[in-house]
Amino acid sequence: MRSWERIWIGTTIVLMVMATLAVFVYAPREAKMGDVQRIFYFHISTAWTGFLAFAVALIGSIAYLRTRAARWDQLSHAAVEVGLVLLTMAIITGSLWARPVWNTWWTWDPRLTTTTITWVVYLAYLLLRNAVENPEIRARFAAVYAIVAFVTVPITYLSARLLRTIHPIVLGPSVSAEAQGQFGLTPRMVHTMVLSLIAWTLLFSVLLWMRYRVQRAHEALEGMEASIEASFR
Amino acid sequence: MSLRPALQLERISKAFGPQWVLREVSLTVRPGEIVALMGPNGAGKSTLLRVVATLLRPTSGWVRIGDFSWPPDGARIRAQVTLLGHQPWLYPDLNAAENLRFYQRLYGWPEELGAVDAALRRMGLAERARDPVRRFSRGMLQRLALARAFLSPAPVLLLDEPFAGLDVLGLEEAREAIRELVAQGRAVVVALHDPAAADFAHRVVVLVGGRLVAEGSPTDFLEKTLQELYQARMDRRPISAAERPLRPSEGNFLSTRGMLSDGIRGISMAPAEVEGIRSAFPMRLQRHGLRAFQALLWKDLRIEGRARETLTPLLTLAGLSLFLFGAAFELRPDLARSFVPVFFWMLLLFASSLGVGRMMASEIDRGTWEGLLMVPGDRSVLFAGKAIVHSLLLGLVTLLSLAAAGIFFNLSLWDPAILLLLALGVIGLSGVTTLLAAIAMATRARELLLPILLFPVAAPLVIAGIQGTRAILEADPAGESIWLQILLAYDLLLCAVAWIVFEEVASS
Repeated sequence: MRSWERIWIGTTIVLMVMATLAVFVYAPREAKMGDVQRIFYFHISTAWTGFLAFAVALIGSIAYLRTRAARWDQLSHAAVEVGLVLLTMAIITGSLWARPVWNTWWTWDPRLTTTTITWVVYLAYLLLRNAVENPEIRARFAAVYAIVAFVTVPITYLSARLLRTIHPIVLGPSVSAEAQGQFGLTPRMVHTMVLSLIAWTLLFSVLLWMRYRVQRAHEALEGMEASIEASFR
Repeated sequence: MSLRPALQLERISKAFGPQWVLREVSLTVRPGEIVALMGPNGAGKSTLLRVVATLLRPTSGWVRIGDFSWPPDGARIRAQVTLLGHQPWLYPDLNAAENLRFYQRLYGWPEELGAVDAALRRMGLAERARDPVRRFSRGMLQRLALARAFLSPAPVLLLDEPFAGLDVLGLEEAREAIRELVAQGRAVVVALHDPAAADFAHRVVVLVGGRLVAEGSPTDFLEKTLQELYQARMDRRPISAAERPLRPSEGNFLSTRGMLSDGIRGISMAPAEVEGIRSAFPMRLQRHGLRAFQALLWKDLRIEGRARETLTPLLTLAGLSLFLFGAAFELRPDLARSFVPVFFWMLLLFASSLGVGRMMASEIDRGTWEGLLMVPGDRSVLFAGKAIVHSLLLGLVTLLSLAAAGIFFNLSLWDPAILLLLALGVIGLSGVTTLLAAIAMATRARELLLPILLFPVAAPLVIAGIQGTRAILEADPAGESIWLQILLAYDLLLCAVAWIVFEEVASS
C-alpha cells in the first residue's frame, strides 16, 4: 500500500470514529423522538453517499462511452456496487427509525417508493452485467443502462419535495404538511451531521477505490488467463 | 497515372475481450477492382468485412473511404458501402420487390423507375417478384440478397460468401453482375473459401489467424498452395518462398506492392470516370433521416398488418386479463375507480414488455437487425421508427382495452385527461422499452432480462399514470395536475436519454 493510501485510509478511520462518537456523545438528545433520532446521522450520510456513488457511476459511464477506456467502466461498476450497499444501509436505517416514529417498518410513501425503485434499478444494472459475456459489449450496455438508471435519482430527490409525503425534510424548507418526525437542527446537531457527512464521504471514497482496484486486478487476471488459453490453442 | 483508392484499411485490429481476431490488417482497394479475401474458417474474414461496414468498431486502426474515416465517422462510411453478410436480411412477410424497395428507401438509394425489377431480373427472380419471401428456397434467398446488393449505388461492395447456396446458373449470373459493377468503377471485396470461385478477382489476399499473410493473383493460389499456407500459419512455422506468393511486410501491406498505379490486370477505368462514380452518390444524410423513418414505419406496419404477430397476442392477453380481473374482484363502481387504473397501467407495462420485446426479438432472430443497422447516417432514426411503431401498437391495444374496461366495470374512461395520460404513458413506455429491448435481446437471458431492466426504470412512469388516472376519476384536479407534470417530465427525460444513447446500443 502506498503512503498516500495509508494517510487516506487512516484519516477515514479517525473521522469515522469521531463521527460515531459525536452521534452518541456530542449530539443532543432530540426532545420528541429521543435517542432513536440519532439514527438520522447514519441514515442521511448513507443516503447521500449512496446517491453520490450513482452520480460517480453516471460520470464513469459517460466517460466510458466517450473514451472506451476500460478503467471508466470498472469505476462505474465499483461505484454501483458500493452505492447499492450504502443505499441498502440507508433504507434499513430509515426503516429502523420509522418503526417507533411512524409505528410501521414500511409505508408506501413517495420517498420510500422512489428510493426503492432506484435501489432495484441499480440491482438490475448488476444483473445486466452478469448477462453479457463479451466484455466490450458488457461495458457499453452497462454504461447505457447506468445513464438511463440515473434518471430515477432526481425523481427520488424531488418526490419528497413535490408530493404529499410523510417523510421529513430536515435540510431545506418542508412543503409537506403531512411530514411526520420533522425536527429542527440545533448547532450541535449540525456539527455532528457535517462531520458524519465528511466521514462517510471519505469512507465511500476508500471503498470505491478498493473495489475499483479489485475490479482492475480481476479483469487483468481474466485477460491473462484468456491469453494463456489462447497460446495453448 | 495513379488513382485515389476506393477503400483503405489502415492497421485494423479487433479484439473481443482478451482474444484478438484481427491484427494490424492493412489493405488498399482500387476503384474497379475485385479483391478476393481468402482464409480458413475463423481467420477473421467476416469480422474484417463487418468492421469495414461499421457493424463492428475496430479496436485500433481506421477504415478510410474518400475523405471519411471509421472510426469515428461510421455514419458517413455506411453511405459508401454495401454489405452482403451471412444473413440475407430479408423479411419473410414481404414479397421480393417489397424487400428491395424497403432497403432502397432505408438506405437512401435512388428510386429509379424499374430499378428493382431490373435487379430481380438480373438474378433470375422476375417471375417471383410478388411472392412472399417465406416461400423462397435458400438459393433464392441468396439471389434476392445479391439483387439487393447490386441495386446499391455505393462505391464499395463487401460480399461475404456471396455464392453460398447458389446453383451453377446463379453463380454465373452473380459473377457476371459483379463484373458489370466493377466495370462501372465500383470496388468489390469478396470473402470466399473456395479458390476456384476466386478466378474472377483481380487480386487475392489471404487472411490467417487475423493477419494478412499473402497476396497475389488468383492463379497463384491453387487449392494445394492455400492448404499449405493455412497449415503453415496454424503450425506457426515460417512460410517458405514456394508456399508464399507474397508476404506482406510489417505494417502497411500495400507498401510491398507499390502505389495505386493502373497496372492491375483487368482494371481499365479512367480516373475521371471513377471520381464521377464516387460523386454520383452523395448521401444527403440530413434529409435522408425522414425517408428512412418512413421506410421503417411502412415496413413494420405492413408486416404487422399481414402477420399480426404482436397485435393479436397482445389483444388476447388484454382481453383475458380484463376477464380474469373483473371475475375475480367483482368491483363496485367506487372501488373500481381506485383499482381499475392499477390494472390498466400494469396491463400497459406488461404489454409493452411482451410486445416490444417480441418485435425486437423478431428482428434479431430473422437476422434483419444488422440490415437496419446499416442505415446511413445517425442510427437514432431506428430508435424513432421503432418507438413510433411500438407506440401505435400499444396505443391500439390501450384504446380497445379502454372500451372493454368501460363495459366490464361500468366505468367511463373516455375522459380527455385520461386519454392524454395514457398517450404520454404509451409514448414513454414505447421509447424506453425500445432501448432496453435492444439491450436485452442481445444478451443471453433476454426474455427474463427485459422486464428486470424495464420495470424499475418504468415504475415512476406507471405510478404517476396510476395516481393521475385515479385523481381524474376521483375529481381531484390538484392531484391530476401534479401527476401529469411528473409523467410528462419523466417521459421527456427518458425519451431524450434513450434517443441519445441508442446509437451506443445499436453499434454493439
